[in-house]
Amino acid sequence: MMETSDPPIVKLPQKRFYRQRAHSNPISDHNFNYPSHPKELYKDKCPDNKTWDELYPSRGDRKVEFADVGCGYGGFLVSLGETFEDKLSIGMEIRVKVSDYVMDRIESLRALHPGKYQNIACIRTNSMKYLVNYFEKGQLSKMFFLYPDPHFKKSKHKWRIINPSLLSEYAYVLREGGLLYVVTDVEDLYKWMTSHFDAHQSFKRLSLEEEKQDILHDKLLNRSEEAQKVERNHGSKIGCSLSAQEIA
Amino acid sequence: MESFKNFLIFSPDYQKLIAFVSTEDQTQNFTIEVDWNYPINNIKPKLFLENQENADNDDEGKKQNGSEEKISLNNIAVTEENNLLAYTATDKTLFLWQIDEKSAKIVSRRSFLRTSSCIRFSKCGKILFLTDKTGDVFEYLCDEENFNTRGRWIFGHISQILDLAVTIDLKYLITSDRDEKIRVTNYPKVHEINSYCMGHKEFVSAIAIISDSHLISISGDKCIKLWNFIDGKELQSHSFQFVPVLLKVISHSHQTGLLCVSSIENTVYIFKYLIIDDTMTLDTLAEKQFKSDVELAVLNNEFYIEYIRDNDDSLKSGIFIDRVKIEDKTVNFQKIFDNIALSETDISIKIVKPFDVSLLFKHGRMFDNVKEYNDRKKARIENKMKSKKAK
Repeated sequence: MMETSDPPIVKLPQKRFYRQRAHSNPISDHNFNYPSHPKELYKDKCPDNKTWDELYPSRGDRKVEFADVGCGYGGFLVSLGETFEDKLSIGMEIRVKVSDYVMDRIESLRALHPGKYQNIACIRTNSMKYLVNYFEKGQLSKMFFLYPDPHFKKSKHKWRIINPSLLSEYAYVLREGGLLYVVTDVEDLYKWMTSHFDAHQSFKRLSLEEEKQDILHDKLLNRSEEAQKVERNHGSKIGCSLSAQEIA
Repeated sequence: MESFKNFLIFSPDYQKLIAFVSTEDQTQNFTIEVDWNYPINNIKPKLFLENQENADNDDEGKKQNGSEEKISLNNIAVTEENNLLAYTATDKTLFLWQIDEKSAKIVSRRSFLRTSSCIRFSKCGKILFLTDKTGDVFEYLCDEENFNTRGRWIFGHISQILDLAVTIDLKYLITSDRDEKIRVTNYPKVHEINSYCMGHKEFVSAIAIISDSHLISISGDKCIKLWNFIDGKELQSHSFQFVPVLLKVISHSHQTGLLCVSSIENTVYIFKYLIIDDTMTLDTLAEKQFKSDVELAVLNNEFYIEYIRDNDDSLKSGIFIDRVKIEDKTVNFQKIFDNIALSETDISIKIVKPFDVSLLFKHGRMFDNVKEYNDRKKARIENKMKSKKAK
C-alpha cells in the first residue's frame, strides 16, 4: 500500500494578514496588467493576465454577467455567487492586499466545497480606467457599487465612481435593461449620485416597488463586510439600493 | 500649424506673433500681434452638471501665475468654412479671431477649466471642441450669435486626451487617450458611446478619419492601425521602427492616399496607403531627418513641415517651412519659407509640442507594487511553515 501524507488542511484566509487602508488613488498608474481588448481573455493563454477559463474552471460558453465593482473583502460577491449559481460574477478590487484576500478566499471556498463557488472570481484592476478592457458592449446584466469611496473633497469629486463620464461607460457595458445598483451610508454621496443618475439619459431610476421586488433587495444592505461594519457602528444605511436601468 | 486658403498659420514664438505665410506669393504674408489685454470672459463651463457648484473655482483662491512664467499660446485650430482661427493659451483662455486673406480680428476670449490638449472645429466651423489634460471634452459654439457663449461639458475620459477627430457629418466624435483607448461617441447624444477601438498597447498619440467608417491611429506602441470605427473593429496593424508622434493624412479616394508621420526623434516619413477589402498596405516614399521639433500641416492636398533649425551644416535657427512635393513616387522637400531675421530679434522662436511623449509611456517604467507584496507574502508563509516544523 502506498504511503500517503496527510492532505493539507484548507483554511479560509485571515483578514488580519490582508489589511490595507481604504483609499487608493484611481488616477495614478500603479501597476496593472490588463488585456488590450476583451477578446484576449478568451484565448488559451494571455500573458500577464488570467483568462476567463482560468478564473472560472467550469465556464463553458458562459460570459461574465455580474460585476461587483470595488468588491472589498468579497462578502457580497460570495453571496451573489450563492444566489445566482448559474451566472458568472466577477469582483473587481484595486487594492493589492484586499484583492489577494478575495482570491485566496475563493480558492479556499472551492477546496472546502468541491463543485461550488466555481462561478465567482476576483481580479485586481482599476475599474474606472479599464472596465472596457474586460467587458464587451452590452455584456453585463448587473453592476454593483456597494459603499463606494465618497471622496469628500470637492476637488476629488471627479474620482467618485458614479459620475457622468463613467455613467456613459457603465451604460456601454450594460445591456439594454441591465441593472446598476448602488448602496451608501453617506447622505452627501447619495444626493450626488441620485442627481447624476436623474440627469444621465441612459439610465432610469427604479421605483421603490420595483426595488423591493428584486431578489437582491435585502442582500445588498446586509451581505457585504461594509454593510455589517455600518450596522455594528449603528450607522444609517441611506436610500437602500439605488437601482437604475439602462435604457437604449 | 494649420492651413487657411493659401496660407499656413502658425506662431513663431507662441507669445507675441501669429504668422500667415502664403504658399503662393510671399508678398502676401502678414503677421498679427496677440492682444493679451483683450478682456477675458471669465464665466467658465461647469464640470458635469449645470446646477452643481463648480468644484474648480478652488483655483481662483490660489495665487495668480507669477510673472516668472509668461503666458503663452498652446493649441491651434482653423476653419475655412467659417473663417475662424482659434488658439488656446496657458492662462486657460480661448481666443477666437475672424480671419481673411489680409487680416485677423479678435472676436472673443473665453475661459476653460484646465490646460487644453487639443482643439478641433466641426466641418461647418460653427462648433469648436476642446479637450483637456484631465480627459474632459467641452463644446464651444462659434456661430456669430454665440462667440461669447460659455463652454459646455459634453463627456470625459478618465485619462489625458491626446487627440480628437470629428466626422464630417458630425455624427461621431472620436477621442484617443493615454490609456490606449480610442472612444467613438455619438453626437449630439454625447452620453452614448457608440464603440471603442481597443488594441493599442500604449498611449494613442494621433488619429485621423479617412472615410465614413475608416480610422487610422498611431501609438507609443510603435504601431499604426486601421479601424472600422463604427464597429470598433481593428482591421490592420503595421509596426514602425520608431515611435510615431504626429500624423497628417491626404485622402485621394476612399481607398488611397498619403500619410505624413513624424517620429519622436523628429524624422518625418511620407507613406502612400492603399486600402482594399479592409486591408491596408503602406509604401514608404521618403523620410527626412530634421534637427528640431517639427509641426505638420496639409494645404491644397500637400504636406508642409515647419521646423526651427536649418537642415544644412550651419544649424542656424529661424523659421523654415518645407513643402513636400510628390510626383508619382518621387518626393522632394522644397524649402519655401526661410526667415532667419526672426531669430535675430527678441522673439524667442520655438515649437511647442502638444504633449511630452516621453512622459506618456506607462509600461516598463512603473513601480511594481504587486511583486513586492507577493514576495513579502511568500516570505511570511515560508516562515510560518518553518516555525510549524520546528514545533
